[in-house]
Amino acid sequence: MPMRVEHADLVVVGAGPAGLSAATEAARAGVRVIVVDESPVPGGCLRFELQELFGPGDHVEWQVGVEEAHHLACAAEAAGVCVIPGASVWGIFPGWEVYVTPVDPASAVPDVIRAPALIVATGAAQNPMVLPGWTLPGVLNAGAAQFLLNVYRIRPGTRAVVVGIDPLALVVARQLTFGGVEVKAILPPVPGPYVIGSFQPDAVTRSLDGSLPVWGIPLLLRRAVMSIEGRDRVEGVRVVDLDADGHIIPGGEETWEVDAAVTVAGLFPLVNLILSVGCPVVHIPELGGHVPLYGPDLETPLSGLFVAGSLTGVVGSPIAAAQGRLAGITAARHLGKLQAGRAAQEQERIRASLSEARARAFEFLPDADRGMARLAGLWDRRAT
Amino acid sequence: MAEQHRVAYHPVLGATPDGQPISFTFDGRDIHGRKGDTIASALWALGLTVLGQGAGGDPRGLYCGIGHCFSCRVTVDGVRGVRACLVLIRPGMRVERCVEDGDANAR
Repeated sequence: MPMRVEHADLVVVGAGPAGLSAATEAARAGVRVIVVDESPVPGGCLRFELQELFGPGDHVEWQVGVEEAHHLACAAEAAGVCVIPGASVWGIFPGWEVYVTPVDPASAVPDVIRAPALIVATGAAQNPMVLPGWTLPGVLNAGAAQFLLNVYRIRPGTRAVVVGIDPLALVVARQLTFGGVEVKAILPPVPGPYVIGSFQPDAVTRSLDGSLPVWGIPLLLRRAVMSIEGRDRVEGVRVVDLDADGHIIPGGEETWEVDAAVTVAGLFPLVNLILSVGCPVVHIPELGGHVPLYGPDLETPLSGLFVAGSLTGVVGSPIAAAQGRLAGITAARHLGKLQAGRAAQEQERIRASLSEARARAFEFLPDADRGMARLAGLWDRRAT
Repeated sequence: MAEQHRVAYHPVLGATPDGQPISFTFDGRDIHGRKGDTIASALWALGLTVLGQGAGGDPRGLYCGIGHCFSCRVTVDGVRGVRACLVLIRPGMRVERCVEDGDANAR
């Protein structure tokens, strides 16, 4: 069977806020853009979000990810972008060639898309929390709980624990209560060799001596989940007591009956595709792990390859969208579709909105600024 | 089967609209999801959380929700290894639990 080949000026891998914004911006400059994404509906993990935004005074507004994603997808379509959902990219090759396979075997996608420019916006994935019982149905990473609750309005269970403590854990715990789930507690896992980002006790635990309610949900600092139990799905968790230094106090073990355990252990950028073409990758823990080496306009050392979104270090959706717009302009400039002076002006304008988004961002990574500064230094000193 | 886990009213998003029902089968049994559901969401709404077995016979299901972990893979119309969290339900689709036989290369 002959290969189905598509041609474009620019291919964007990933239809999250970064990829869609990049595609829209480039298309508006006259670039022919094809976006590919594994999900059946564009929007990426933005679709999972449900976030409270605080306005002036006591004004509160809810940002509904599903709606925001829909707006971004509509804007892309209006700009003439071709979005191909349900398409897995299994390989990219310099030049650029993007090889694709359908996620649903019954659907048809091109075999390969050729274009002189490529933006990789693959985002991030969540670290697994490897406790005994972690593969049982009913153990969900935070993203999967949000997928059920905020996209499909499905309760992950009737009684749940949230294991892991970080800003995302608190947000997800509250979203569980919106779905009518009783959240027994938010608490850490026990420390262990396979537990990433395990709970680091400090003076807080000493001063708090136990529990702190968050929207009425107990946040426990002196108890920890040791294992998840059940036969065909989660039936309970084994919980132990911790001292103020995070050590297990023997003798205090008990089982809590729950039918869901939502685990939160941080996110890491998905660098596998850009690694496969030899794009330099650097390890910057402050940005979530390994990230591509990239410059101020989201260019990489490889000609015609650009990056945006959580692949560049775990960021929230407003930052990802602003980065996408910048990458889209940079790609359009590279393709000669935007005159250099005009492009520089646009890039300047978007860099300003990017700084603004950073200042207001949901704090996934508290030391991201330090990580960004290190990355900028590495970019400046790169071998050319 | 009733959608015991679908939320009727969400305090922020409001009342859940009735979706167009889509019928498909799971391990030979006739069931319904809603238009726009993925295989994983339609099954979870009905309380069907076990989507397959690992090589040791241990139950597996939805875990990451973004197609990354491959824990939710099922057999769709005879094709093994399809990720339930990424594929939308279609009328008449035949979905079956995926059972690993211990040989990662066996298809």
